[in-house]
Amino acid sequence: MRSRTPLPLWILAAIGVAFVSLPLLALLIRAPWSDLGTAFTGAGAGTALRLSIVVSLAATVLSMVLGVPLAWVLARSTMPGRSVLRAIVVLPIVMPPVVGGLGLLAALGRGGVVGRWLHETAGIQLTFTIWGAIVATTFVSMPLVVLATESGLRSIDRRYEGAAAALGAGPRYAIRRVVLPMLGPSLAAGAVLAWARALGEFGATITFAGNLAGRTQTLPLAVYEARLTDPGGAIFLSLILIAMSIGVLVAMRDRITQGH
Amino acid sequence: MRVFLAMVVVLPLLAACGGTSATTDETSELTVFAASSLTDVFTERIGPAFEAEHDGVRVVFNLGASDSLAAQIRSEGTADVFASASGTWMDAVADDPGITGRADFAQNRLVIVTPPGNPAGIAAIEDLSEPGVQLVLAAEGVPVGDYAREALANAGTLDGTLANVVSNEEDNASVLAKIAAGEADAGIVYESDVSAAAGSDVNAVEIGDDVNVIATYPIAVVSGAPSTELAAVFVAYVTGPDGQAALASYGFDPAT
Amino acid sequence: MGLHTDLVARRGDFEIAVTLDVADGETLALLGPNGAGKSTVVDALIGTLALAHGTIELGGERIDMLSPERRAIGVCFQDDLLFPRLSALENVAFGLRARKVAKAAARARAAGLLERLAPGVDARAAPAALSGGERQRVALARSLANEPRLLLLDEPFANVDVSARPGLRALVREVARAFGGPTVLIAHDPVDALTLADRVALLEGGRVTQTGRPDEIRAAPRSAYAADLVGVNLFVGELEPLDDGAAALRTAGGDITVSPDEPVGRGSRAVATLKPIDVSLHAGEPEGSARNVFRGTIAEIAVDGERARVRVDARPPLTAEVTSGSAARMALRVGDEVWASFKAVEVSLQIEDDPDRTPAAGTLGR
Repeated sequence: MRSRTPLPLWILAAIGVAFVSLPLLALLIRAPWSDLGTAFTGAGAGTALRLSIVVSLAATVLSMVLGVPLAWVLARSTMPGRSVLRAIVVLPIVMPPVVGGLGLLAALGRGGVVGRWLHETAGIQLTFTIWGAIVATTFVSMPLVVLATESGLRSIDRRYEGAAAALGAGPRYAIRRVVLPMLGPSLAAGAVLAWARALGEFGATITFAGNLAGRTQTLPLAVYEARLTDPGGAIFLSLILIAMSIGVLVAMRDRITQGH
Repeated sequence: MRVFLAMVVVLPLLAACGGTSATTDETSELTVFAASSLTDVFTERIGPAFEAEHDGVRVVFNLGASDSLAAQIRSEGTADVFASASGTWMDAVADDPGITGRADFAQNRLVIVTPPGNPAGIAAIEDLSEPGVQLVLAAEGVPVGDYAREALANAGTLDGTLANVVSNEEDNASVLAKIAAGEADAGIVYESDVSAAAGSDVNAVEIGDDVNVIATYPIAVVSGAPSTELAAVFVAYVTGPDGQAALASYGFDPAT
Repeated sequence: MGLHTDLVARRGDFEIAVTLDVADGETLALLGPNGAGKSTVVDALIGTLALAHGTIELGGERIDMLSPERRAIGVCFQDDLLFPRLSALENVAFGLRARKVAKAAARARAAGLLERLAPGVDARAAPAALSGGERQRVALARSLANEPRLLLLDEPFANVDVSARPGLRALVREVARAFGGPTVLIAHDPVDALTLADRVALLEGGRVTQTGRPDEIRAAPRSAYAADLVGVNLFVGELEPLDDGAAALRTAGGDITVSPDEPVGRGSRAVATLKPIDVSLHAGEPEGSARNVFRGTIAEIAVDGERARVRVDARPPLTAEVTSGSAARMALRVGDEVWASFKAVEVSLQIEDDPDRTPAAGTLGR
């Protein structure tokens, strides 16, 4: 059965599409295509691109390692104050990233609450290092993993775990062989969202990790720095960023929707 | 649906009315784009004093790195007055869309800042090239960043010092914030940034006159601005005795 | 030996207190309506619900203190609960792998079980690709893979297509017969309980209200529920096709005429049920189209409000339900001679092992 979509919806949807796609189109139009080669090298595109890939992938892995167990606790434990905990954990999604960066500085900076101790006892410094960029990026990416995983966990019938236990599986074996495979699509969705968010992260990174080419200057930071001195290069960097994001989002969409 | 559309149209109007009352006849608004090193003196002293002297005038400041401001003026052209931290970016605005009444109104010297207690023991600009010192500078293209590199070149330690740079910040305020938080060992900002009036809690180390760079601040009325007459009055106020006194108390030197 | 439970468990405000004794080799059906607490009993037995107090003893050992994975109970779950991301074979091998049996050995044993219990099912198929009956067969194989000490079958027919039930029922009977330990069958359909179990325990409101052999419960139901459940006329026997498309079902208690949907083979085993309300009583020999007419004497009249349940000693014995008004009008009394009749089409027939159609049947045990 085909349902008819009312005309006003079509019009508003068209405006919505234009609203999102017009800036992308404008970037394509304004890009100085004749200077393609020099724009790349001039804006340090290769260095920033490499760093962005490393940082975003590392942040995605870290987000999964920390976020999935966290989602598990939120979905499965019955401890009081869970809703407050959930609110705190997903706060970075709605918080301005620069606020997150300031918070990270206050906590993990060289003079921070925990960072001072790390620096003095172990000589560990996160700010101005690639690790700082990874930490800042993870801070804003992890909540997406938590949300996706938790909703996935809630949709799994808990009797499967009971069945696994009755068949002789300990909790860890049951998680590995039964729950995680069923959770697959949710984990993939969480990872992709986290990765896409990590790729575009700017505010927390520049605030916490600083801005140094080759060490903490990811693509968004390079765009920001190049936008005045080399506007053409900035547009090319932006287009690289957009192309990567679109590529992965489109490629993963089919994977995600295929599982259930 | 109708309700939503109505909200889309009405809410911004409400916000505009409640916010600036820019649309009423009695008030005229003056938009001043100023380098972020001027933040304290403009917002705390010059702006309020100017408003007090001119009834019905409201001064709105847009503060940021001079390079960003120049780019905004060139693409959007919404400024009445531009106060830049360097002649370069004033030249850019003079080029497009054009300026009138340009005058240098202040000078600023560079100073090294360190966290309280000066953990790396910085005593002179040459110390910044010592191995292990973590230095933050404003990025290239930002006036204070360019001046800092010039001073380091004057001292003959540019290459060694650049190796110690851990971050290129977007403006002097970001440099100060990193130093105040103790994240790096040293930074280079304007003397006005660490004046008593600016109230910052960092430690300042002088840079010798032989290598220091004097930043000269030009101010001008932007051509094609909505209120060029009022803008000229503001420029005159800044370059006049009251403006100069305010600038002096915030650590700026008079323009020569 | 066998299974002995004397347990109390709570879920929210709901409490079950269940005492069960099942001998090795015996099948006990735990029969109850929805909400009686059957799934709570299952959870308490497998250990996903802790006991409030009491004990569970299996094979002479207390298992109620053990975590679920150490209880050695083979469970075949309601709606099968096959792990959706594992193949049929991996599902069956799951318990073995969990207990560190080498992969090759586990898969070999699982493949053997699948071949016996689910012939024709692709071992590599995902559960979603199988029919309800096939899934339940795989689930049955999975419950047996670990050589459990107790077989717990939780409504194994609930989500199986009606047409697939008879074959599955026959399989469950074979499996339970071949299994050496105690078998507990959770059921809400009395036909399952009465045809598969050696004894039946009735669960109502979290309590076992009656336990006994099916014929004992039939003879003396202690509650309205028990009467309703076991009051159904049940015939188990072999079919013999008749010339006109109908068939005779020959049972130990006497023969009836049934009306199969499709031609049946001679000697097919079948279970037939007939609701008491479909049985008519007459003072004299009735005229009309009913093919099943039997003369007998009234053995018992149980009046329950508007309804009267009348047990007639005939060949075969029958239970009829009439309104208490018509029972009074006919002046029915115990010992009176009556005629009972019902139409062949009212009999619900389930053929279990048509020798012509299910060559795989009977490969287990016997």
